[in-house]
Amino acid sequence: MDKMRKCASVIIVIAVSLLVLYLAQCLVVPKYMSGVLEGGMTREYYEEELPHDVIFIGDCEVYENISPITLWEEYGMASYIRGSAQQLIWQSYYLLKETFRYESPKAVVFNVLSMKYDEPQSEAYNRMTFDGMKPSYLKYEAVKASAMEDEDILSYFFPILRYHSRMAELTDEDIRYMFRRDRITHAGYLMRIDVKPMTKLPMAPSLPDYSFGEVCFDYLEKMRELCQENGAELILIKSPSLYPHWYPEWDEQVREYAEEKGLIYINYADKLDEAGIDMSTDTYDGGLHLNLSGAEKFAKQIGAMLIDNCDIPDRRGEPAYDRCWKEKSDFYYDMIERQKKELEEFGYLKSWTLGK
Amino acid sequence: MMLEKLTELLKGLHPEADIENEDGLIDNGILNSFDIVTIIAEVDDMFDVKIPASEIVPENFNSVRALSDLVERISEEF
Amino acid sequence: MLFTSWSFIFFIILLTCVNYILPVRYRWILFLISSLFFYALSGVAGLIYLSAAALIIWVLALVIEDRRNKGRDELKTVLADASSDEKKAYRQKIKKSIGVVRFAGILMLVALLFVFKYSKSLFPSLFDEGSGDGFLRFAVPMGISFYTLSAIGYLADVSNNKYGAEKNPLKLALYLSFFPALVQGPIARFGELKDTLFEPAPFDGGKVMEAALRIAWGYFKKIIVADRIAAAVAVLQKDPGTYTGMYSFLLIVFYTVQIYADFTGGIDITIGTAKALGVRLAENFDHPFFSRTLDEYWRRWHMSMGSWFRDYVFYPVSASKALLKVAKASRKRLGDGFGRRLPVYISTLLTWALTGIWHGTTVNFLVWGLLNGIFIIIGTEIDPLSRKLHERHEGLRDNTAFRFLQASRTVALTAALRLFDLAPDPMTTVKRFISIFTVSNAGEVLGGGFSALGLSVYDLVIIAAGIAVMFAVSFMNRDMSVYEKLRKRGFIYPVIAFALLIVAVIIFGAYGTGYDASQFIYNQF
Repeated sequence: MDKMRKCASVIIVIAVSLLVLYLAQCLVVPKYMSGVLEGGMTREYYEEELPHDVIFIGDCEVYENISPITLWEEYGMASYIRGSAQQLIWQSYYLLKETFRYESPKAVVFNVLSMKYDEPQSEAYNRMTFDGMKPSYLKYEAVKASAMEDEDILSYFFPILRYHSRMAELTDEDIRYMFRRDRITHAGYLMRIDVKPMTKLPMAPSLPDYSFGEVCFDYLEKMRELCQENGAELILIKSPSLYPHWYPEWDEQVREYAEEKGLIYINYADKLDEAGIDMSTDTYDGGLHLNLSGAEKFAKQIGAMLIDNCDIPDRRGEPAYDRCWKEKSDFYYDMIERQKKELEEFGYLKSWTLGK
Repeated sequence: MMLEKLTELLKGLHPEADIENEDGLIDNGILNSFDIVTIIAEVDDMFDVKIPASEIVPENFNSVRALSDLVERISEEF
Repeated sequence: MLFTSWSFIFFIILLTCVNYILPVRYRWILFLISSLFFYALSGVAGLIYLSAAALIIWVLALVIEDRRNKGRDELKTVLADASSDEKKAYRQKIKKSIGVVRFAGILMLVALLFVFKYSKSLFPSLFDEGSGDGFLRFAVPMGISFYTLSAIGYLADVSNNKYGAEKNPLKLALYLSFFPALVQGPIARFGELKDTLFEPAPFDGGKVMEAALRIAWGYFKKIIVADRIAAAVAVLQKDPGTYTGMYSFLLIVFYTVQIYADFTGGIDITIGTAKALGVRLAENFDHPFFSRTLDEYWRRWHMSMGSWFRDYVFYPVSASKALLKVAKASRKRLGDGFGRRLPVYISTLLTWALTGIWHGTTVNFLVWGLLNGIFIIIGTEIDPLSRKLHERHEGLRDNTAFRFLQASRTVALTAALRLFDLAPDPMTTVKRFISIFTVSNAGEVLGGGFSALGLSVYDLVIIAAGIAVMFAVSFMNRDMSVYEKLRKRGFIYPVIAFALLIVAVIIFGAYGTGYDASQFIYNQF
């Protein structure tokens, strides 16, 4: 009996310690509910109830430039944008692989800007992409592929090891969002209604070498095979953002690859007029990303392309989808109102940005 | 004779201690390394006996009797 | 492998488990393999020099023992009937030949140490990789300062017939390389270590728990306190021109706390790890900041070093023929008072000079050593005055306030002397120290200085709390170890303490990259 008591008390001590550590972790983990919202996107995917027929994958040029609500309203298309800040191509590959575990979309649209990065860029951006990803062996592979030198992989699974120093700078946001988060995206779209017209873009310097890294083509090929295995059509695009500069030499390489493999590749940065995108009203940061009106225009454009080339069903009329997307629309229009109010009151989007 | 001389020597270094009866001169921290070294020099001067460093252990210095035995032993050995 | 790394923790857990599966007589082999593995991780080349040291002492100790045994046999047989004078002469001869072997061994070991540790500092041009002239290129082998002393001690002990020579060279290799003590000691003595190292204790759950608690305590001190202060100390010491006045004072305070937490914490991990394996290592610290005098301090701080230099340098030098001659002459010339003290002072200064040199390769360490010696000498000179004081005021010695004063004075002195660690040029340190009294920038420092050093209010609170906890624990374990006190209360209390320490280290530890919100700002330009 005594031995049992001892065992039990040790187990209790361990359990309490783990609980304390868990609570501390919930407290110190960055919430991404204000200021920098980008880190909160990855986790929202798991809250989706119904499968999607189109998955957009890539960096800010997908999650800022396309409105899935518009795709629903115009085409009855059920889509999701699995984007994250400066998402690198191997991160896209692993996030896509994870997505295929949950569903089987008909089309996968990938923004090829990330072909220009052939090595890990920033630990902070890695965190923002992966902090929300559910733990799995896939996550381990993804983190390993993305890690900068000296990164501590264990801390991706036990974030308290990475963020414990935030104890010194807790805000009431940390306490409020200890156990829950607010929704911040619309099927993966991060909304901005403010306007900052494009004036002059920096000169694009000429590069010593335009060829994309081997590793990028490897992962592109892996993505293609992955889509093939899962019965999805991979479509390559260059999103209609005008900066960073998309060099013709890069465009050429992707075009060649697409032709060789029989994939569709469209450079939408050349087709702004077609969509009616006007960089004096449709961008919130001077041409880097589209704002709400731009995202709706581009959604119409790309939606039409998807209808033409793939067999995307129109889900309007299906009760579950109607219900689900009505709720999403309500949230969407509600946020538009809220953002409008803030713009009026403060002159800038206080809750969605870091400042003027 | 030797015992008396040594007792005198130690008393001179530490008048506050009960040299005759104390048997923990080292263990109780009464003699420190300074004292020991002074004792060695004095023993060399008084009795022409050189205590080697290897004999500097608590057992030999804990009481004036032990010290006296040590000095006798060394002087007879060589 | 750093103590504060996941791999080390995993390593010792694994090792402890395997350790208790093996029968006792093979466990030393496990220790040897893991020590060599641990060593090899920091550079295989270093293993060569370690092996050389082990080889030297193995061979020479056996030679010494052989000569002694042969000498004894001769005396018993061939010279049994010789005159006592002849016997005496023969004994001297044997002693001398043993002394020669010992001297040769010590010389070789010191030469090894000299080449690998000091030559770079003394002959920088030989290592000059920039100009291409340098042809010597190596890192200081890990632990060489420590295992050289252990090796010399072993050789000296065998030549003094303290114990028999070790016949197994691998056991000597283990003695020199036992990984918990490799990096910062304690400096091993073969006589103390051989029983516990080659025949470690059987499994005892209580001892393993005690070991785990001790290791956790070590991590607490290192990761929460020492590592937190480290960055601030690095900033303060780097630029002696800017960081003067109050900053210098802060440097003294911070550096003292950092060294205490880091060194004693590291030793806790060392002794705890050994204990978890059933090996008993000697303590290296005994409430050093409670010391009343500098002399006492050095019997409580880094004890294995102090006692090594005392037993293997101070005593042999003091008892040496040369110094005894000096003693005779000095007593004749300078009288009974100072004349008696001078030879002791000479060996004191010599010992401290060597202690200083052992600590580091640049002049500042030599200065530090000598200053310690000088202050100890001053303490001895003042002793008669202090005795008079205590005769007049009998209760003073045990008065708490007085003891506090003495302890504060000792802490202040040692903390100030420790400043010499931080600059290779002694004059920089002196200037830095003097500036405390000549530069008045207290307001500036207390205003925004701390944040400039990277210490937020949160950090300062944690450091203060850490110091309070360290003091409390130190106070508590004066009579009995904290583990024993907790265990007495109940089986679960040490476990709770252990869990508390681990949780505290994870949440409040100063490890990993900090959280810099600005890095997370997503920007394109």
